[in-house]
Amino acid sequence: MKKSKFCLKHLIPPRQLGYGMLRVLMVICFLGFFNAMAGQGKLNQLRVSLNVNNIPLIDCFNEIQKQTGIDFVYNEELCKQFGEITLSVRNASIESVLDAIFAGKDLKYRFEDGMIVVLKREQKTLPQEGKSVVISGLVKDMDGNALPGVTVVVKGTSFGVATDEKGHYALEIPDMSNIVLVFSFVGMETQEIPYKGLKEINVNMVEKMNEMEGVVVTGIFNKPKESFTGAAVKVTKEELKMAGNRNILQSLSNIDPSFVLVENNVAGSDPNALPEIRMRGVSSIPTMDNLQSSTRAELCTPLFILDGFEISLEQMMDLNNDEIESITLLKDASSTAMYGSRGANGVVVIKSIEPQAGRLKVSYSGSVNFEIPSLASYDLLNAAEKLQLERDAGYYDDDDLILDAKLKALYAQKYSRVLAGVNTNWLRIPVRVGIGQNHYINVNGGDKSFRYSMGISYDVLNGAMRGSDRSTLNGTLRLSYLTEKFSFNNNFTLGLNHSNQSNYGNFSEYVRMNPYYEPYNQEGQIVKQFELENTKKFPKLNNPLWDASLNSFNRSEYTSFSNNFSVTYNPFKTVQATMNFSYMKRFATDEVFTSPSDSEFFGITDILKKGKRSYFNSEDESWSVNVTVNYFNTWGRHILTAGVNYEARQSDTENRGMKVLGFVNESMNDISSADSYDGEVPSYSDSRSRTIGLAGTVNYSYDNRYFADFSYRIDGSSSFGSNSRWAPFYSMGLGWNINREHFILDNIDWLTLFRIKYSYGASGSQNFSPSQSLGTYDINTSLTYHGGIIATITGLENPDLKWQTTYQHNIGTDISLFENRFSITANWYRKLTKNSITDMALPLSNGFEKYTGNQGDILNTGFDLDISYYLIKNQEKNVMWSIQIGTSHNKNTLLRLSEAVKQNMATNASSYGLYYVYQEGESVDAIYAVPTVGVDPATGKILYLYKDGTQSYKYDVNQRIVCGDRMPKFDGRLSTSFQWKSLSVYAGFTLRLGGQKYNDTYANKVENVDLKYNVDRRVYTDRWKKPGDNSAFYGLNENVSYLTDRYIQDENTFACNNLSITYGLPSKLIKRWGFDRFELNASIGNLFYISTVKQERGTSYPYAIQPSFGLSCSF
Amino acid sequence: MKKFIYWGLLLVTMFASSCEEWLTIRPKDKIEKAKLYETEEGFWQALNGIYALLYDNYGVVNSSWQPYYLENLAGIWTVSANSVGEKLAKHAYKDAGVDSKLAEVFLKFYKLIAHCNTILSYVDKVDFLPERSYNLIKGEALALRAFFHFDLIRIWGPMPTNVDEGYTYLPYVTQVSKQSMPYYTYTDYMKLLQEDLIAAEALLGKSEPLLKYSCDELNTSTLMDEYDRLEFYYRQHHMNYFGVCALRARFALWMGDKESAVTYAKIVKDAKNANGSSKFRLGTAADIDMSNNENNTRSLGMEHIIGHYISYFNWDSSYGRTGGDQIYMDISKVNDLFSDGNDYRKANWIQMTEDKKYMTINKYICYNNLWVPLIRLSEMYLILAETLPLDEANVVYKEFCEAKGCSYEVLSEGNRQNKILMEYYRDFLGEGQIFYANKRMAVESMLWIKEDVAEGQYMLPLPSRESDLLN
Repeated sequence: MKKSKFCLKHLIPPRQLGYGMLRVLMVICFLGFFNAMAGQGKLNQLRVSLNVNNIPLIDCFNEIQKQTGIDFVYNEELCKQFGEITLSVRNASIESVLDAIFAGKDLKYRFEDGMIVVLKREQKTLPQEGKSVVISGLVKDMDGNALPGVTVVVKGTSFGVATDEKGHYALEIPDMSNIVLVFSFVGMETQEIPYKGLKEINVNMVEKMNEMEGVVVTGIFNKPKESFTGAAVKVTKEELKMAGNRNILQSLSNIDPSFVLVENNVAGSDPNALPEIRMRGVSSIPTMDNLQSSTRAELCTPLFILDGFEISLEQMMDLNNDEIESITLLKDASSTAMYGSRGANGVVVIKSIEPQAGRLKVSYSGSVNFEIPSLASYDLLNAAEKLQLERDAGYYDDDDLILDAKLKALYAQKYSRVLAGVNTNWLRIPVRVGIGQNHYINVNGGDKSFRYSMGISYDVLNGAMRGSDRSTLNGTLRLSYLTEKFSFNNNFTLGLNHSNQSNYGNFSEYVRMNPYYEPYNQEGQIVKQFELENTKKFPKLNNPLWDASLNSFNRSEYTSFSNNFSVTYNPFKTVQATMNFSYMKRFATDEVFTSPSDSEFFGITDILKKGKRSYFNSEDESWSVNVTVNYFNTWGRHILTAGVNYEARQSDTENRGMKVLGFVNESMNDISSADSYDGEVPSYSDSRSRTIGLAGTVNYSYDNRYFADFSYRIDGSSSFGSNSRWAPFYSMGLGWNINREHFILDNIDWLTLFRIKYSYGASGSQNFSPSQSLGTYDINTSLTYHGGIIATITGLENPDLKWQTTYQHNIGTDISLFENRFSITANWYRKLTKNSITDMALPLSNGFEKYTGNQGDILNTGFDLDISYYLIKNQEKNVMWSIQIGTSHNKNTLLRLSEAVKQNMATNASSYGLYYVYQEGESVDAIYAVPTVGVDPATGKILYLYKDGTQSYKYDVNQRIVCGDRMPKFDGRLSTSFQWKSLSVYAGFTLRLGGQKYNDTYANKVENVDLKYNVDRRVYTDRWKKPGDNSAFYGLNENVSYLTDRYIQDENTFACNNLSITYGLPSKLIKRWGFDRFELNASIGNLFYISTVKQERGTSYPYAIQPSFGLSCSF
Repeated sequence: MKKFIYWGLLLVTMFASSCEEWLTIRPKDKIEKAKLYETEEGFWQALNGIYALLYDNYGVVNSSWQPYYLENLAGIWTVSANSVGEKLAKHAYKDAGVDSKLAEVFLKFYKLIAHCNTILSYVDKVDFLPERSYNLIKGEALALRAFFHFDLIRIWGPMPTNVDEGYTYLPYVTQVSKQSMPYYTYTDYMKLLQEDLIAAEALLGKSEPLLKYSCDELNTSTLMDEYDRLEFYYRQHHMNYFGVCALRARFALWMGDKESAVTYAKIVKDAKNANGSSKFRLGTAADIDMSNNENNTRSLGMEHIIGHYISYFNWDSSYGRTGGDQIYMDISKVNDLFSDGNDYRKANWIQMTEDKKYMTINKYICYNNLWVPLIRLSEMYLILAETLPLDEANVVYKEFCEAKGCSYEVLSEGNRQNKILMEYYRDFLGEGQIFYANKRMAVESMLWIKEDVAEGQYMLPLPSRESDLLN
């Protein structure tokens, strides 16, 4: 593989042929990504004038290339055999010129992917004496189509042929030992197959993933992978398919441990919950109003770029796997600096499938998905146990004799019901096995100049809670038109989404119901309320099933469409210019209707105050214009890639909403049927932002050994204050391909790749609304001052407000041994965020408490490591077995906080529950609690340990210390895939080590229990009951649950993310049915979860085990 | 290569030409400051904003500063145990609850001042304001700025008899900025305050509608040809010319400048309408009879030199006997205060229905729009009675007593100060002035307060939120 006589003229001068296949491949890749359009079936239109006298054939090719821009691919030695050419033509078609040149010579040519491939006309007997062998065979692509024009060469020699129209080749060669045939074709993986005596060698050529194999797709500039200094992870569609089939975010997280989906124990497997995503830690501090809210999570969300256009997290979640060609995760400064003020949280670049030339091809994939509720983590008391517990706790005793008698009677009544066998499993009531389906159909085809692709995907996800679902319909239409120098592409996508929150409400409502209640009465009607007897100890309790039976709803939907138009222009071989215009519009509504019969209105008599509905509507519109110029050239051992990008964007979100109250008839539930506004008048808000960016990048590589990257971007944004409108960002990097050094090349042949690289740079994030830098007045629309309009100042503006900047160092290495059998990718990073956007406290005498400013430093350090190893890699027998291990680690430290945040922390300290504390020197994910010595065996009371070492029975919120960290020390992925012919099996696991968790079940279901509701079994077993008991939880009748270290547990978790099997039916069989490809697959997601923290999982919405069965085919 | 350069140039041109303007976004749901001040209308709207915000510190509901917390400093109201009110009555300023309440009030004062300063920063930058509008807008904003600063120094400043000349008490804020505001000595602070008052008096004196028309004539929404803006009406609810004079009288008295106090109090007291009637008159028993006239207000609108109004104020539900936050005091206190049963001011007190032990104040009852006084004519009478030579003072005091329906007792040098102070108690309950009067007169043993009080009690410490950030 070290040498090949096939080369690309004009990109590499003949004298440098020795530089090896890698280089050549890379050049081919570049041609690909430059979308070389020359010719493309328009050969006849190309005119050539030639006046040559006795010049070598190769120089003729050079001349033609100069005039037409078409590259020639040829075997140099072969061409040298044909002497000099003399020819004189004017303005003749290229075909006629070539015909003239090749006349009388044993050469022919073929037009292939914008290049002219020069081949030997026919097989001749080799001029050697002695025995010879004839090898022949068929070459096909993966879909079974014959491939003409594939070059077949004997490795180490120049003997070779090309396949004919039917993909057939025949080769007569001297019988030597160690004959290896090399099959190569533009756009396909080169294959080497040893000759072992078989006369017929049939080969299936594998397409290169696409032309971007050797390219890092950054969404703006594509950089050669060989000489890229950044940290980027590319995920192919095959990997995505294997790792899961529910949503892309989950699949990505299953693949790369540095793409962290923070476990949300409340939302469980709710199909409508948006996850919290982190790449390389948290580098933003929320504003004061959001210190404890979910906005905290949004600040860490990376930037999603779909085909060059920014999309939201929700849009990303709703993308169909089948639409995606590849996803690239950009992590370090070198790869994100070109996103300037948006890149600091990492960038996820998604590339969708492009239309391919070829005959009309239809492909379909579909699956049936199941959501099976997983309730194993719940360990509740049964009816008899619960009643006994209530009795033990004295719930049926009272000093008041009348009440005591009443309670005793109540007990007797409940007891008799328990004896009669009442033991309702409330957990099962709101859940179901959700059965959903997923279909994707794509029609694709076209010729060299016009290609089209149309896809429709429909995905219905029925969640494990009854009535909860999410359905998405996506349609895409892609058209491309290619000419010699131009290519036009247009993508139109339409998305429709409809989702419902479960009308059964919150799962925890059911979990807490006492098992001795029966949801239905003897007549089969739903019981409205329990505990109707007025005993004071047991207040009335609503049956959650009652609300579920009404026609209340909580639903949302959106319609979005986007259009992406791009023109690419290749004025010269070395320059490519692209202009891109994207437009997106999205309408979304959220509606909640609460029936007038709902338990919420039980106490209200006024009919006009019952039943409410809210209606929120948002309208997003955004557009962007992009102009990119790429330059690529080589001189000798130098390779230079450069690019300039100009971008202008605008995005606008308008929200309108209203809440109305008073529905007389629950079936007349339109807004217009309401009696009045619910408290407030309709609301409106608008946020618009504009950005202009100018970016440039240079990548230089010397001899493929040493390389350097530099990028710079300047961003102007309307969100920045008027005094700091322009933000500069930059990155630089250096790298060294050690394996290309001669001392390695000559001595160590098992080292396939050994690269080290370093990058440093700055990128930004701007998570604030434009009005924070702008002084504004609010106009009061509901009040006047004696008829005069009232305007009041909204807050203190900060014209100096600017982006926050993240400075990131990254040191990485890529090692690959034994022809990629074993490979390691490791990156270490140090990410320092400065000027974090935060609330700044002002002296009160300024008239404003705070303003939005830049203060606060956050440091994230960590590493990510990926190891993959092929246990079996036998291409001959088509057996492969590989293991991938990945882990990531991140340490977060708040270095500096603004006074405002510190004050907020000091004044709003809460004694109960889990809440976020921001403290200098600690992590944003630190869990703070007051340590305890334990439960005093004598009294059953908790003894707290103060900071100064003293012990006390009194809880003091100021004695909190850091007792753990929510994020695991090591977030690991383990996966293995096995492939044997067309059968492949995949298993993926998650391993989390070294983190801590606040055990909500301990806090609320074991210790701080309300015995009016059902509780965890551990109430029975783990709590202090009598003096002398040594238990972690205090006595049953103590009921103040402060935030202490007793609820914080070390978390080590092992879970199975996905298990999948795919089987491709034998081609002989499916050919008969008319298919090119037919695959069956089965998978199961969230198969098991083993953790050291024993707590109820999925408190508001249960987790689900997710099996799915599907097929995919094309014809 | 030429093409390449051409492309490059085109790019640079496109980039450079996309100017700053495109990056400036005007929100649709709010008005940018600079935009608001592009029209005269905007100036008036911003000014109305200040009057609407007066509610924050000068409203009447319990949570508000002036009628409740400020008066608790003078131990007036019945307070529940451990409440902020109780801590204030005990002058326990270090309490966290008190500190945070005081911080809130302190901030609101300076927020009002920031509103004034924003108007003032634009009013001289534009040239489209008609002179009359300019005079009124700038005059009112300056006077309001002075008014708020005066209340600030009366709370957080020293007793006027006990000024530490070297100490910087408070910032006199004249700009809106993120920078820390400079603190001033008492003298400098008061000098700035007086300058604002002088300037305001001059401006308003030129264009004040009240100088031409009577209060009643202007208390209408029917526009005259001469005054084509709503803001030229209801002048009693704007910082008008007489309001500035009254404020100057109040200020002069605080400063011990009796001469000026008399001058300005007289300007207000003797102000006449075109027909010779008094511009402002003292209210009488008939004026608080709500049954005979819907325009009557128990807060005595005819006495309001300046005040503000709260529209759609539901006295009963937000303040009164049936709900909301109630303020009340022992019946015995009320009886002590109004030993003279004929004093109609006692009628502003009414027994609480649930618990007969307490009485609640009835002053802010209204039909629809509540008039909240900031300076009333009564105060001008009391200033005159306190500062004029005794014989002249007695004339004024007699007139005062007659109007209030109480028996007139001759003022003597010996009893004058105390008698006037008691009149403050009777007249201004629920209006916040009683604490200031005690502080100004350096009363050591306040009525209804057991311990003696001095500077430490009269001068409130800066909120810790403020002092922490300054260090």
